[in-house]
Amino acid sequence: MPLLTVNEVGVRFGGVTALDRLSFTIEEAQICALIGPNGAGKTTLFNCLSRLYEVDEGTIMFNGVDLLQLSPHRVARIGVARTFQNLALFPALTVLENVMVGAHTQGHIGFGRAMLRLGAGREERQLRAKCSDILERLELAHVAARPAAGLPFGTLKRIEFARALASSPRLLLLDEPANGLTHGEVDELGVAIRDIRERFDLTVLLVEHHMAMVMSISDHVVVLDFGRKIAEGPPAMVRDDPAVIEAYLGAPA
Amino acid sequence: MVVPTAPVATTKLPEPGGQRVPWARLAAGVAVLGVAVYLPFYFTPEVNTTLSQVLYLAVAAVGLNLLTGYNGQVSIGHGAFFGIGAFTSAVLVVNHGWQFEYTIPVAALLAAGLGVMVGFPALRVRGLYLALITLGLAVVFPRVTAKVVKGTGGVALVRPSRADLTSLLSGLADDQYQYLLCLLLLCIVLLLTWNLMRSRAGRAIIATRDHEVAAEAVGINVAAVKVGTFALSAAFAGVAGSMSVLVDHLADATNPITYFQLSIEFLIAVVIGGSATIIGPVVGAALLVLLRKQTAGLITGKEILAPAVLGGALILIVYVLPDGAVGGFRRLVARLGRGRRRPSSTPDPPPDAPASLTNRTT
Repeated sequence: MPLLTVNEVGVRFGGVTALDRLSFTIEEAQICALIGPNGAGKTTLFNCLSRLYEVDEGTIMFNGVDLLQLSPHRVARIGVARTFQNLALFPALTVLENVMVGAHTQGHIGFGRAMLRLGAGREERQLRAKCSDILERLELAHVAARPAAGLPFGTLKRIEFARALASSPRLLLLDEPANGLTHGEVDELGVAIRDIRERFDLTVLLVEHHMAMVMSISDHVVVLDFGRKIAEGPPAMVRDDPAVIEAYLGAPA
Repeated sequence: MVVPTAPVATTKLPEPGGQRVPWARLAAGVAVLGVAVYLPFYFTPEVNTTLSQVLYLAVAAVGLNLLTGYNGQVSIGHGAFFGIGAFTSAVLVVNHGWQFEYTIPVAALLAAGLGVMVGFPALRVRGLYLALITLGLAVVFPRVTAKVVKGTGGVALVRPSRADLTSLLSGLADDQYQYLLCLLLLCIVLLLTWNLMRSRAGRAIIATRDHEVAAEAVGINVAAVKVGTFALSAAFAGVAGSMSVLVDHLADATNPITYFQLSIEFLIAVVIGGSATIIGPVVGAALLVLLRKQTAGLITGKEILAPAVLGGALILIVYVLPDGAVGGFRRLVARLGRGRRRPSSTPDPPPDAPASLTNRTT
């Protein structure tokens, strides 16, 4: 059974069709890339998966659960984590605390028990240990105690990774992870994504513009144009697909 | 990106489970508490009453700080929650013969209930709009109270007698007992707040303020956090109102702007003390009462100018200390610390990003 099944999903904003009966599936442990020109509907689909947008038609099943029945904060609880295109860290918190917020679904201490310190100390120690471990594994231990605001861009991106991983997700959604990185950093990022997939036992769905990286790391590529799927398959096949070439380069004269 | 970077990564994390015990802070806290407990035996009853006023103002400000400082929801209506607490205690003591101390949890619960009622509609608005709605709450409160509460002479004023609020402990004068009870309540409120803010729930409160969408994406129930913070914040303000009855022997809604004015005072205490810090609102409350006292007696014969002088002083404070007294203190300590320590003790950002990227922020 596929881990994620997107079935006939349609989204309209007013008269504009952002997603037109889109269907595809992702198998467990795959790295799947969603590509397409600007405005193709990639981020729209991401926001449907995060339950930020309402879907007009179709269904999305994750691991046997109807995702569209969940409120946004429940999505993380069933094992879907995401990063954001333009970083979305909590600037007032330290790096470690940011990652600990990422582990929110791993704890259960609410207002009452926190104030009375009933079990809160033990939970803090557990979350702290888990998140410190993630930071070490991502080579971020040296910035753990620093505020998230004011660190270098590449480091911040990695902290977002760490935060997403802290919820022990099964599916990791990456929204344009290469955005704003230099060529060298993009190469490192590609290695890092494959590495994280292995070490954290993940399935990855990424939206990306950066063709070279997509082609080098993906197992499966879905190409969108104007909200429609125009091609799907292994990277090598998609690359040579005439419809894809046309969408990216325009129709031949 | 996960490829090993320069060998700066040797700095150890604080051990799991352990923030190191902050001995200096702990000692300072014990010393301050010791002095605070001794104060009422040193000062006159008049001064003790003023100090008690600082304490209840501080409790209300700690409550407002939870909501406005830590959770980012601006309220200029906390006077209403304070008023609910005050009238709950006053009415229960005067009309139903309750022992004062037992009225405090009731006041907290009723204020929390109103907090939930305001917290839900507050989910739909933010910033200035939320400020306006809560402002309405403070303005409406005395009018509604006047309809419900008929004190002596049919006006919304309840005045417990001294005998109603007498000291439970023999050997303590009334003013000393009042002060110590207020101090105990402030300590409880501070302890609860401190515990809350170093937990999963506390981080959720801050994360919700800083980035709602990201908070939701990591699984935080943003709506529940916001309403819960509103309720807790209101409950603290309610306790403060209850304390004010003990200190001032009065719950008074005859003047339509009293509770609006109180709301502003809570906000001032939060801002000049240092918002989103545990102790800031307490410092702010003390500063505010001190300033009020000093400016009131400053120009004899021209008392009408006192509020203007107070206002000017507040502007000056906010100008000099934009992040409040606690924020200023921290910057001072940091500056002194930098002077003494060798600069290598905190590693610089790792060299994993080229210079062109280092200036971007979240």
